[in-house]
Amino acid sequence: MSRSWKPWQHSVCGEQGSVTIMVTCVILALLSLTGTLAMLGQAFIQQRATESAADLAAVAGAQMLIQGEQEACANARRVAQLNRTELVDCTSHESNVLVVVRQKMESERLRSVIPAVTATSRAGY
Amino acid sequence: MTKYRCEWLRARRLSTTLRRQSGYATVEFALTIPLVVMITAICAWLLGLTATEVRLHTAAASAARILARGQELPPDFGQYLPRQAQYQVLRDRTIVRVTIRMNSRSPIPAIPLPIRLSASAVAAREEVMSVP
Repeated sequence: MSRSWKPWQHSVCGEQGSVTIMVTCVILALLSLTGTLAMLGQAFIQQRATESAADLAAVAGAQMLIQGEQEACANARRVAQLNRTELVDCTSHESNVLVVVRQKMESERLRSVIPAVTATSRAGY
Repeated sequence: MTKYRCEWLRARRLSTTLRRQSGYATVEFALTIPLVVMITAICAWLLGLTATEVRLHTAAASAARILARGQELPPDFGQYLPRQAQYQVLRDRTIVRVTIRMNSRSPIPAIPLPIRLSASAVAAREEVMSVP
């Protein structure tokens, strides 16, 4: 007499594979965390680089501010471009120049989430 | 299914099933734990890479500002950079460009990942730009 197969005898009482399922879930969670961390890290690096570029562009603009706003903004734009960013806005007020620069995300995947990062800086003489 | 039914089944198949399955969990655990540790190590390595690259960007921008003002870099500037980092200064008539590069070591020595970090900053020279 052959005994019929009963799933509950194996699925409920047997513990074979339970650790594999648990660890697979942990590994998937860790891989997701790794990917998210990599993307956030890249965004953070670009944000800091853009802030540095904004500072340098603002200082460059302030150096030429004595010759007028147009020259100041032209110099700020040149330095911003050399730092691989784009000058979005440039205004001067008395002895200060305020610049806003933007940089597109280098990563294509990251660009779909965060298109670009911007930074603002002010410098004067 | 009740708890008693399950216990009964366990008792009935004690000599075969349980003996066959004993140690499975330990073996699975032992096989998968190194994988979890490796992924955690890669996570920590990525965080370290991010921090290092931020340091390189900050250092490059600071160095460019110092040189653009007409000053010289401190003699121990290289000591503040991460090990294996090398910096290069390019001076133009109107600008100063500082580039810092370094090769990162792989977290798994058996798998050498060619990760190169670099940061560059350009500053307008003040002694030239401020004098029309």
